[in-house]
Amino acid sequence: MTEGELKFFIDVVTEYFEQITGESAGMGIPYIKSEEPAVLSFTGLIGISGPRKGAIYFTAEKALLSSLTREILDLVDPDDDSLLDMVGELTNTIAGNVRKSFGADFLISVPMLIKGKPTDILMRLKPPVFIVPILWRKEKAFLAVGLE
Amino acid sequence: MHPTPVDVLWILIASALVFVMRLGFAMLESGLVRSKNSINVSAKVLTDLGVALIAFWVVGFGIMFGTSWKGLWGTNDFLLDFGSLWTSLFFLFHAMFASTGATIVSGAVAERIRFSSYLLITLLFAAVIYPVLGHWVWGGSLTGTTVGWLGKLGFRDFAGSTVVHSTGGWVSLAVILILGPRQGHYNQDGSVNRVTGAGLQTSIFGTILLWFGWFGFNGGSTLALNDQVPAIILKTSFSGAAGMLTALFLGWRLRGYPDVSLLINGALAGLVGATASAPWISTGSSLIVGAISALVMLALEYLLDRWRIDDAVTAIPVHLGAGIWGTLAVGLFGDPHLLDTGLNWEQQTLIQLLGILACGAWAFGVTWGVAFVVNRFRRFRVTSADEAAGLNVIEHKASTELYDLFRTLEEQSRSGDLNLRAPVEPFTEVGQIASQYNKVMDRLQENLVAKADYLSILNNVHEGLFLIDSGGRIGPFYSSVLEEFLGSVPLAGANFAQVLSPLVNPAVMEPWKDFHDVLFNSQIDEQAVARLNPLRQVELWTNNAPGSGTTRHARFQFRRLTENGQVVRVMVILRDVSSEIELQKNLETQKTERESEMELFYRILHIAPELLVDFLAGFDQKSRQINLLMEAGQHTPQDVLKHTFRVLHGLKGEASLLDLPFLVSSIHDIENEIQALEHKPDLQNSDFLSLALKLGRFQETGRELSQLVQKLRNFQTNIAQADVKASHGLVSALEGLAQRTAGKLGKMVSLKTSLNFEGTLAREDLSFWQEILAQLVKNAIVHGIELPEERLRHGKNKVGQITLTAEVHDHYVVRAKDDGQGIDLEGLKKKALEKGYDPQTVAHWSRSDVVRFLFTGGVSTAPTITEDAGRGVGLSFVSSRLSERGGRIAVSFHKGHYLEFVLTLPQRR
Repeated sequence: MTEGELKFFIDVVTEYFEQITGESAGMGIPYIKSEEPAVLSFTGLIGISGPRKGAIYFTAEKALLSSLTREILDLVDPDDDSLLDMVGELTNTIAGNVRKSFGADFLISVPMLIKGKPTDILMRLKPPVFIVPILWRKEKAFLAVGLE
Repeated sequence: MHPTPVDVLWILIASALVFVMRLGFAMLESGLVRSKNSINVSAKVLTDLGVALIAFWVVGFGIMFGTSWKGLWGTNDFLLDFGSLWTSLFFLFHAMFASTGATIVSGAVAERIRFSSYLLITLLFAAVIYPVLGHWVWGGSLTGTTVGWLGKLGFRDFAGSTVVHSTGGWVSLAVILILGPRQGHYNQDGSVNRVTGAGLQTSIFGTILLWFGWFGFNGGSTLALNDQVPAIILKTSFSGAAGMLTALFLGWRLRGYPDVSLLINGALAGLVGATASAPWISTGSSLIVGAISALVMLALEYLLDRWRIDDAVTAIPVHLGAGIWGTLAVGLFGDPHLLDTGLNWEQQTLIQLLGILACGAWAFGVTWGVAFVVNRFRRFRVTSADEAAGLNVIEHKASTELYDLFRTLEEQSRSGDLNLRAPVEPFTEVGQIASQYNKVMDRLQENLVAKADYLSILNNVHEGLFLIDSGGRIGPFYSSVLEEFLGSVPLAGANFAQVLSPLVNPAVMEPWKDFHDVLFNSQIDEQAVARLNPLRQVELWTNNAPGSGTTRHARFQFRRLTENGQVVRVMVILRDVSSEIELQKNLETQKTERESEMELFYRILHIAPELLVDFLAGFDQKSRQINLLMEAGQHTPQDVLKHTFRVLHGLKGEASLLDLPFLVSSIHDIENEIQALEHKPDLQNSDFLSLALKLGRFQETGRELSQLVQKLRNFQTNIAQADVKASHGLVSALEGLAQRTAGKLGKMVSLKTSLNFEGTLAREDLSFWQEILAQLVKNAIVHGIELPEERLRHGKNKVGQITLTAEVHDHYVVRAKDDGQGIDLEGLKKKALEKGYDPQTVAHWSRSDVVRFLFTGGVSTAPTITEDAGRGVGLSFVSSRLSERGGRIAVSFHKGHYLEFVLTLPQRR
């Protein structure tokens, strides 16, 4: 994992917020996580196989996703399925960009959407797992990257 | 009337000639219709002869020539009794006329009328329509008088331009209007699809025969062989010739070629035109009559097509059109003196016109009325399917080889069954066509089978396989897997470069155009082509949905296909080599991992394990401390950096103490990063990325170290366990040996072991002791332990007891004791004597001497040699193995009670 790769993933997410809502997202201090996973209520995970193994996930709380869904779909009170779709949309964007910018080293799986807090999610990521807090409108989400 | 014999002969000949006209009609009509209807048309010509002949005899003749009722129809001579020669001759001649008139209809209505409908029309014609009209014109001629109303008015029709030909034409017209045109004869725009007749040459022969018959038709109408006959025949022929030439040249001019059908119809029109007037017009007039007959025929043919009235053989223009004209020509060109009606030409012409109208009204009116009514109950026309199939088969089940061939082709086109073959009639043209067609089908089928095999290969091969031509276009056939690589866009005919471009890096395609030229340049050899191939290995996008799409590594190979030394096409083979590449990368990764692990191993080899374990525990704890500090987000970035620095610095000191320079260097690098960040103005969170990555790598090194240490510890534990297992295995093996040996000798034994070798017994020592202990156990059972009965007799437990103990201090001390019979000193002495020892010496052997003898080779007290004992080498072996390693053996025994060996061996250093 290089700084450029990690920065690329972060930029995709922050630019997504800016493109969709016109309001850019910031990042917190990145850190390494080895035990308890940093997982919030809604998570979209992309598994990566091939020569570079591991996974990337984006996880957020309901408040952030509701706000984002309202912005895009004009839904006042989106249900959980809509929020999960929202995470899926964001994860797809990450996957699409990864596909475009990296070569065959990244064989990308179909994004997996998770509601709740699975405990085994770190198993899918290869250590060291970098957690990047994403801050948008005072709400927090996490981007986790664990790649060989 | 009393005809002369010459007249009789002439009328008979003329009747025969008129009869021959039937053959002419049959040939004419069957040649003009399609072969699928030719038999039907000919059958009608034959059938109407029978119908007309009988009908004319039963009623027709009476109506035509019987005693007149007011000039309208005859009233007697039905079922005529041929009482006189004249009556017979007269009937014969007119019966031929009646049937000829009916035959005209058969051609016009051909190709779509039911056979039964045609018979009805023929009956109507011969029994009613023709006789009534004949009565009007020719009534009384049997007796040389004129009784018909038209005849009395001066209407003249010498041989039947109106009575026979026009009547046939009118009847035809009425039936055609009821039937409608043949399927597909007229297009939407009014143009005509001309039918290709079964054989125009047959029609020409038929026309010649008709012309010949006309000699009798017109020449015989004098009913006597007088001086007029040759002129009548000549003028008839002149008219026919004029008609033929007029139609020929006019048609040639209009259509641009000498149309055979116009040749035929022009001649017939001329012959019909002269039929009414031949005796009364001049030779010159006969030419005019004939020429105008042809013009009328052409005009009427044109009009009928415009009005979409489909006359299959142009019978109406010929017989009705020329018949009307010929009838008028009597007034226009006839010599009034010869006509002898007392009318001038205008009056004569008007009377002729009246006759024409009366004939039309009667013949057309009656036929149309009857046909209309009957058609309401039973359709005159065959079904569309029957019409398409043809009336030969539908009406008569009469097939022709051409029809059979056609049916086969039709069935084949409908079903697509390539196994069908056309019936081959030998020695016919159609048979030869069918035979050739079958050969074509054989080859086609072979090719299709070959193609099916080829396609089957393409569908199952795992490689993308296709051809490109010199224009870079993909060929029509390619392996189905190709679509997985290049997408499912229509690939056949598509430009290869255009299909590939969106799927690869643009830079890959840049040299393609030049390479394409190279590919099709036969001067450049294959090796150079392979070397220049820009697609030797490319990364290929698959065209999936965003996110789930993947890329593959693909390898393109090009094989040139040449014809006459020129490259005409190139076969492209596309292979997915992703797994190959992935495997290669995995192997490289594994190799790197192994190397880095070995490197780590060498770096920690010098450190005392307990110190390393303690250091790693601290490393782990401090790493977590740093991670939690950064995760908590409660501190300012500056604080985070400060704390992290402090923790890392402590760790660096420990690493130095343990002489782990690679860790020291790594921490030092991170410290530099931290100090750089501390001094960075406007510190951003994104600036921490580099630090995070360095910390990640550092912690990863710690994790790898822990894993390596864990692996080493596991390895050590496994080795220790292996020794314990080995020791356990020895005990169990000795137990098994004791029981097996005792069992074979019928003895009972119990083995007690206390081998305290664990943790100290080196692997080579284990092997040594295995050998020794096995010998001692066997020795005890074979020579020491008694049989159970003997033991009981001596007051012992029937189960013998063997005890093996091993202790390790400075020395191995191994004891093997059994409660058997001890050593039989006397028995051993005897054995020594047997072996040739000096008896006097043996007699003086002490207890120790006897025991020493026991350890020499070849001494055994066992009665026989078995697998377990008897060779006398066991104790000797034990003694020599011990001596080799500086060991000693002590023996103590009490005869009848026990024997114990105590083996001492210095432990190896």
